[in-house]
Amino acid sequence: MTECAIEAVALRKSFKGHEALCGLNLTVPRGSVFGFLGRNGAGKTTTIKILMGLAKADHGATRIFGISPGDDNSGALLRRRIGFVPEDKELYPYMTVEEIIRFSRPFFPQWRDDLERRYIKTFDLPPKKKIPDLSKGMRSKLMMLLAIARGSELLILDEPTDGLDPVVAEEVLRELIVLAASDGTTIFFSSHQLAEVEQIADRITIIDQGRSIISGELEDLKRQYQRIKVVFADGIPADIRWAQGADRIRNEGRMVSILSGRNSEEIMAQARALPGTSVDTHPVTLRELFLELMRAD
Amino acid sequence: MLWKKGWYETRIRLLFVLAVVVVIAVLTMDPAPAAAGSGPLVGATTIPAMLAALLLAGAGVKTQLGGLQRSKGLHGSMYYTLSLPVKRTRLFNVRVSLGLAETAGILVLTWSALWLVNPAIRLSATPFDMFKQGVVTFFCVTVVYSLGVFFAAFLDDVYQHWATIFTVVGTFVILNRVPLPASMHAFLVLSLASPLNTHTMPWIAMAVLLGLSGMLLLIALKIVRSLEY
Repeated sequence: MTECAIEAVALRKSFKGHEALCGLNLTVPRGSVFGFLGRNGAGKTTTIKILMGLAKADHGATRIFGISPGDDNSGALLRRRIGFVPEDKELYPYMTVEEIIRFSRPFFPQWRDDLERRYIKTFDLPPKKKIPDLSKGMRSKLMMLLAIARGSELLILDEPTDGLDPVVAEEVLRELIVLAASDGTTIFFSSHQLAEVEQIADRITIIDQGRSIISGELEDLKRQYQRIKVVFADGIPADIRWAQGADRIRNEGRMVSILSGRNSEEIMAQARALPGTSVDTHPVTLRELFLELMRAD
Repeated sequence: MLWKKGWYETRIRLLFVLAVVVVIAVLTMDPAPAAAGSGPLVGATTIPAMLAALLLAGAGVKTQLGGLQRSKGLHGSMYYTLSLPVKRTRLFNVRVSLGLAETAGILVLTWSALWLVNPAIRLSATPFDMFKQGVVTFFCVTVVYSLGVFFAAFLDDVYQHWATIFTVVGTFVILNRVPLPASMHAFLVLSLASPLNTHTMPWIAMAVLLGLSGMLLLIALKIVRSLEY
């Protein structure tokens, strides 16, 4: 049995001459909660569509549980093992909540009646209500229920909390954590909400312009990256060449703010050796890291 | 479940098409008895059928493909459908079969209504004549429907309707304006070669129509299988 839930190698995809993905690599271990981050247009949804077999990569290979999702035959079997919440959270407008559940159930041999009952209750979903009469938040919760109750080994969620109020978003995230912890479900989700990614993800990949710019275990990344603040008493000298590992350098008045991904000790030693400096280090949050990487690009 | 879903998505349009077709059929009928094989009798049976085909192929295919067609339109729910563990081929087959079954249903209901309300038809043709004409008309209508499915596979909503209508009307005009060689008359199954005229089944023409429909549907399926959403 493969240890990877998702494996994508050198994915390339162009739309009318615009390269949406430029050699993206992705490895999502089984049982992980994987945050997939990037700005609008970075290639997140395109990647998710390729993973779901809704689009085909121009180049590169994708495997989910070792199976290619793009094939009509194997892709259909594979989707029994995947719960999907798309960016566009539309469902059949002529069905009620209980009708769409009844419609979906027979497609999934592993359907979890216990989870169905639990999430109808937890999410307070009205079974008799027609889907168009549900609020956006309710519809998102219904999508989550339909994805989770499939008894999936993998959940692929494209902006699962998009448009939800903070209370509902918190509720959804809490349930995802419960699911990952209790059933070992792999959760792969894209989001703009950095705080919520930080709250539940154990691994992340940040992509920009179709390629991965940072990837790894969240805690490792947060340990690895540090902000070094160097304050100069008499202003910043013009000709400093910082040691390797000073990834992002910003001058702010008399202070130099350095984001360092490696070699922090040497950078700090270099700063301390400069005349009239005080040096301070700070851990970085995911939000800071993301913004810094995006700003530099 | 896919059949049920398909039925939910098409039933209102189906009723609408049925209502329009029955009204047109009744309004255009000639109460005077017509000789079997005469133009008015063939027209009385084929005009509603072709109208049904055009309506279903034009206005109906959009929902009958259930979001499999290229255009997103109102089908935001297509992502949910495509996330189900079902091959696109099966989704396509269910929708096309349902569409053809609905077309056949409309033909049966419309012609039954005509048979009941129009004494001219009862006097001019036997039920078996009508059945034969019905089978032939269904083969013709299937081509129109398949054309709609074909265009729906790669054209946006608005264009798919017009492409179907223009192609059918264009073909009709050409067939009427251009004098066909006698050897081709057998293919005019809704006029010269109608079983109401000839009292025989135009098997070769039916085979050609079936082949044409099959080819259009196969191409549409190939497109749908390779579509990106």
